[in-house]
Amino acid sequence: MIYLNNAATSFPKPKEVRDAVAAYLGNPPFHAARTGYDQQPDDVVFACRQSLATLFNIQSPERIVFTSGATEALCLAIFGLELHDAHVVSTLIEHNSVLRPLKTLERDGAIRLTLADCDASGRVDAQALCEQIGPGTKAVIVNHCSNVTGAVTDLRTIGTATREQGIPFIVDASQSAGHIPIDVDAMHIDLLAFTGHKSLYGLQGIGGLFIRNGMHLKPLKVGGTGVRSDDLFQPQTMPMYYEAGTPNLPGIVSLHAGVSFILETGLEQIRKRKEHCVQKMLEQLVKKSGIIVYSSHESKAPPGLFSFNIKNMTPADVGYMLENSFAIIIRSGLHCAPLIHKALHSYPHGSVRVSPSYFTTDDEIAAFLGAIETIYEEVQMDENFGDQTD
Amino acid sequence: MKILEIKQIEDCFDGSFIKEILFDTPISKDFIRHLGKAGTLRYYATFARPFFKVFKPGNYEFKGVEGNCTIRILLKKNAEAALEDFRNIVDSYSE
Repeated sequence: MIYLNNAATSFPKPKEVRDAVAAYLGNPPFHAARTGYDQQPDDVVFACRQSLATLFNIQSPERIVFTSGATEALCLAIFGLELHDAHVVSTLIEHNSVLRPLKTLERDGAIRLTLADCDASGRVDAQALCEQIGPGTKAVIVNHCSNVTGAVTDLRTIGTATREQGIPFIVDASQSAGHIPIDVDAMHIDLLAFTGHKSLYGLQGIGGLFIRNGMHLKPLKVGGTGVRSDDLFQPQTMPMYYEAGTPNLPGIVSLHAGVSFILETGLEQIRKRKEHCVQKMLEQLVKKSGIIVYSSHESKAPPGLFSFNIKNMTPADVGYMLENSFAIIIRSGLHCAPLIHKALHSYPHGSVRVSPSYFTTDDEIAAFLGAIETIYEEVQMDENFGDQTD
Repeated sequence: MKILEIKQIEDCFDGSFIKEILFDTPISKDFIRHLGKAGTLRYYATFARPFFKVFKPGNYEFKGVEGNCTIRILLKKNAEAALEDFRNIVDSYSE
């Protein structure tokens, strides 16, 4: 089996992650903060916050709150701001984890929403987005890296504009964290949402939100914290204020091991390997007139993922063929990002998304290209195939 | 060939349904030919594992791979009638 669906969940995980989780599960569930000890440097929860702080250049690790993933982190950020009668700027390339909270607020009359456009590769013009910011704008929310085309948004330009105007800047780093550099200070990011199970190599069910000092969000949940149990209200110290309930320790252990692997291997090396894989695949695919590629590959830095379609075929058929006839796992459909497909003219069927990982081999790339060649030659050239579909 | 289970995969926005049908034995080339009588059959033998798709425009379409035990079917307008039609085709197969 060849796995090219790392934009959904990364596989394989580094050996260090597998070993760390196995070791954790083989021991009593000791958690320093909940067993009466002060946080120690060898406490994995503390260590995980520190490794994430190093990765994102966060000065105060306690400003990182663990969540179940990017969706919960984004809901905490978006609903926590308690927006009323506010204008919000976002983009067409957002995932439903951003679009649905924003559209819910818009439907409820709490916000007016402006979605900045993107080009044919899914790229958002940062300068054009900044021009959408007005006197009533109370938040700007952008996707750092499109989960459909891999296009990367210029956060520094947007962050500079929002910082000058005192507007909270929220970034969805689900696809970028772990292979594209993120510096919350240099990019002026106020709220950074990330998930652990993609390029950070953790398990599903762990993610987090960086909350800049001075930002106040209403917690999504309150409840047990394991300490200060005599207080009938949620303790307001960070990060406890936002972390009610039993922590996902296996997830945190995996995330710490994954981020440590990234820091030891080097972000640049990981990024270059993924870019190499994408470049090799795109070089071949763009040569075929019947293949439509959705990618920002013509820019200086190729993306870490891309999408494509084969004319006269639905992405669902291509995905089914790859998985069942060639044992190659990709993802087909809208990828939970419906609006970008309207801009790419790939709505409603979506696209076939290919997302290699640091561990993808050249042989696997060759096998993928061979499978596409076969499908293209056999099916795409069969004029009757597409004509049958309603 | 007996249908063991029909699993709901997706309710589509346009009102159609996608279901996965599990058979008791792997799908043979002969069974594919039989299923092809339901509509227009496309069969690609050069794939690592041969792929087939049968189209009955406006009614349903289904696809699968030779040697697998499942077929994925897209049921259009009248889903129940279309599924019943598909069941009848399966039941009329004699090995």
